[in-house]
Amino acid sequence: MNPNKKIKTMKKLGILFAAVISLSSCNKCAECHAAAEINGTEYELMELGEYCGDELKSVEANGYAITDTLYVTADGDSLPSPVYPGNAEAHCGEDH
Amino acid sequence: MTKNLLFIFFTLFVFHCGNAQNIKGSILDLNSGEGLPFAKIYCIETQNGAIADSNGNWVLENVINNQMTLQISASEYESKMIEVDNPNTDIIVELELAHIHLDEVIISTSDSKLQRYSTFPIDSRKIADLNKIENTNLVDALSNMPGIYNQSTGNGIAKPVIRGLSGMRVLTSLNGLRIENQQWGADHGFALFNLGIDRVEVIKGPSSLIYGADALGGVIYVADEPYANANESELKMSSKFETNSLATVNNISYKSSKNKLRFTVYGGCFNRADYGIPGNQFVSNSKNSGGSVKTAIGYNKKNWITNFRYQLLSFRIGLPGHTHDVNPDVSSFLSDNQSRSYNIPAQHITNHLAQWENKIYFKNDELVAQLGFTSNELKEYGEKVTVPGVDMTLQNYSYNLRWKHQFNKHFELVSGSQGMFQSNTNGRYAEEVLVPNADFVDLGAFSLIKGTFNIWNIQAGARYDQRSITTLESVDPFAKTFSGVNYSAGISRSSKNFTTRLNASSGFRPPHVSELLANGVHHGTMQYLIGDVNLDSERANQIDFYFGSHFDHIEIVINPFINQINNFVFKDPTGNTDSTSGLPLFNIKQTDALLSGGDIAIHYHPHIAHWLHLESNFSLLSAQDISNNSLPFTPQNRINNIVKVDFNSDKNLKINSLSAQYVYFFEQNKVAIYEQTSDAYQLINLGCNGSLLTKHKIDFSFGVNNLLNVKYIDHLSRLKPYEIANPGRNFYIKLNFMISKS
Repeated sequence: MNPNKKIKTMKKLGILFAAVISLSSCNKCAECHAAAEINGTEYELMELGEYCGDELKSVEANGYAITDTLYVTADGDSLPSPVYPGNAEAHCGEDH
Repeated sequence: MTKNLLFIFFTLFVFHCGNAQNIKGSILDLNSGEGLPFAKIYCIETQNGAIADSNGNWVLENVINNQMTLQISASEYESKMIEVDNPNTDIIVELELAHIHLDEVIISTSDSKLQRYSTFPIDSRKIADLNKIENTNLVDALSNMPGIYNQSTGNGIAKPVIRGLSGMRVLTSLNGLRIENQQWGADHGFALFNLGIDRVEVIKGPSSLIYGADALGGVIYVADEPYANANESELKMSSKFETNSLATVNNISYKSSKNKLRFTVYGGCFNRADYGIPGNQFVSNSKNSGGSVKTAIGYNKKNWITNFRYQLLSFRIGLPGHTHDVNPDVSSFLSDNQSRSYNIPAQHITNHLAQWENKIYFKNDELVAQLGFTSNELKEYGEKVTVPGVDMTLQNYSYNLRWKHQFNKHFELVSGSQGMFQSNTNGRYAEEVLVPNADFVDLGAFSLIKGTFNIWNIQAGARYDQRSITTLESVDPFAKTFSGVNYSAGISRSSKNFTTRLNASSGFRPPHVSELLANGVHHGTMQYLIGDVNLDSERANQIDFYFGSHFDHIEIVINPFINQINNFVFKDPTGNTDSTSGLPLFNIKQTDALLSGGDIAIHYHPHIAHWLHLESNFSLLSAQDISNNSLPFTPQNRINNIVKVDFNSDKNLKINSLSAQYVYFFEQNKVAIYEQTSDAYQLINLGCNGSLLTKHKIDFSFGVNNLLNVKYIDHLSRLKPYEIANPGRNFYIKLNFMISKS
């Protein structure tokens, strides 16, 4: 291959590589829900929406404050026992 | 004084650079005496080679002084290994026409012999041959070899199984570098993916003599592609697409060899969405993606060869089989929509692999010294995206010293020592600690004598190993040392048409700290494990027999074995569940076990149809404990049949081969107490390989796996308890571009 052509090919590949790297560095976001564990089973209490970046870290670390007593899950199924107001775990990014 | 020394050194260096050693010769047809055009010459020591011209003449540049081993090969001819004692004379090699050639050169056992002459139970295959019909991952490709299976968790996690044994009992070596990646975990998959790999050699059964204490099941030795031929360079790209998981796999490589310096660099990435099963549904969170960069630099001077290799691998693997449904059934794990976007639970894995190898050759001696470093960072995000449930880093510093002395043309002695200094560290914020912070030190020394008498080869040796485990806990620290002596002895007789081999070997595997100290949930396996600090080392003794008949048009191989393992470690269900997690409780226990079975293979190549190859291999295995209870995850017996048609054409666009594969897995009724039986199933795979000669050579392949879209659950699938099927029909297309070659 012509040396100049070789240099051009390598340049194109280098630009492509840099583009892939830059596109892959984006803010992490995930859908979250409040969760409670009752008798070894986890129940999804309510959908919390999408959180990103530092807010995502914060909600996973600190949890979510439940303000009302809950008797059913986010899907409308009955809970085995009520969940009273207080801090619930926030779980994010799970595949349902 | 210093200046004078530097001047002398520089002068000698420059003088040497101007006096590169070349060897040359010719490759001829044994019967006609005519030169064989474009035959290949490959130097095992320098890992590069040359191609003969149209008259069979060749020159290999910049070789080392003293002994060299050359592999000479040509299409439709039987390969030869020759040792070059005098590089100053022309080397004339005559090759014999051979219609069937399953023989590959063995490099993993320091033998540098063709496979049939080895005294070890070893099977060597080129990756390209295993992927004549493309496979989804490297372990799937390996499972085309007799006795090898894939213990899978979807298509993102694959663990090789050799004669029923896997995990800690199977050692993976990359060019002699031992790979440590927490392989004790059932959901911790194979550390490598198919980037720049030339061949795989599988040593079946205890291989502690050469590779270390714990390879009771065997060794998977992965060898990288050779460097570019002397004073050549090449730039290649490949791209593959699969329909089942919308997978894309892209690789690029650049190789260059100039005078004494050789260089390669590879880059690759893959991305798979959730895989599909028959019925137009997809397995939720079975997506996976990853990439790798690897490089190697080689240099030789006089009788010294050095190679430095480094590889970075990064994977993100979804963990299917996870649900929060109160009363889950199989529908809890499936979806009507196929997704590629990131979800948890998932594994993030980062591996660094580095190796520096030095080989020095003397008249009758060879010295190999390898230093290695591996780092495996494993994070499992189970419940939170930003906080890993499991966060472990396993760092491993290793050395491998080997000295080979040739007494005379009959006897050689190989002695050596290997060691490993390993540390496991848990991340500060990890929510689960599966293996405590701990240091492990392995030291071993071995000696092996080999004899060659005409068609007879013999070997016998012994090895001592010691492993120390020390946890770094401030409360209840644990420290223990295990040691053992092992042996290996083998004899083989290889005539033109028949090969007979008998090999006996032993191994010992100290219990892993995860077995000794387990006391908690491993989300990846959905089990609560309770270890036992009083576990003893496993001890294995294997007898392997091989009989092969090789004729021009038919080859038949029979290879039975028996492997007795004392103190076999296994998980015993208690029948209870943990009150907090609700997961089943398992105690780690020991028993004595007996594994037996073998492979029968036939390769037929009709005289009236030289373009047709028919291959069939049958693998069977029985694995039981001392009470005749079956061991868990015993692979199904299997018949693997391949029909291959080769084409010869001068056209620019041509089909080179068509392959059809029919695999039948027998039902598995011999199961452990807590296992379910598995039904028989069959798969049909098709593949077509061709090439297009343009300005840049393009090799293409396309085909289909599971043509009939059979819904099946393999017995070794870890998704079996959830009734999640293996992948359905999958079409693929792959293109390889030679962008430049000079």
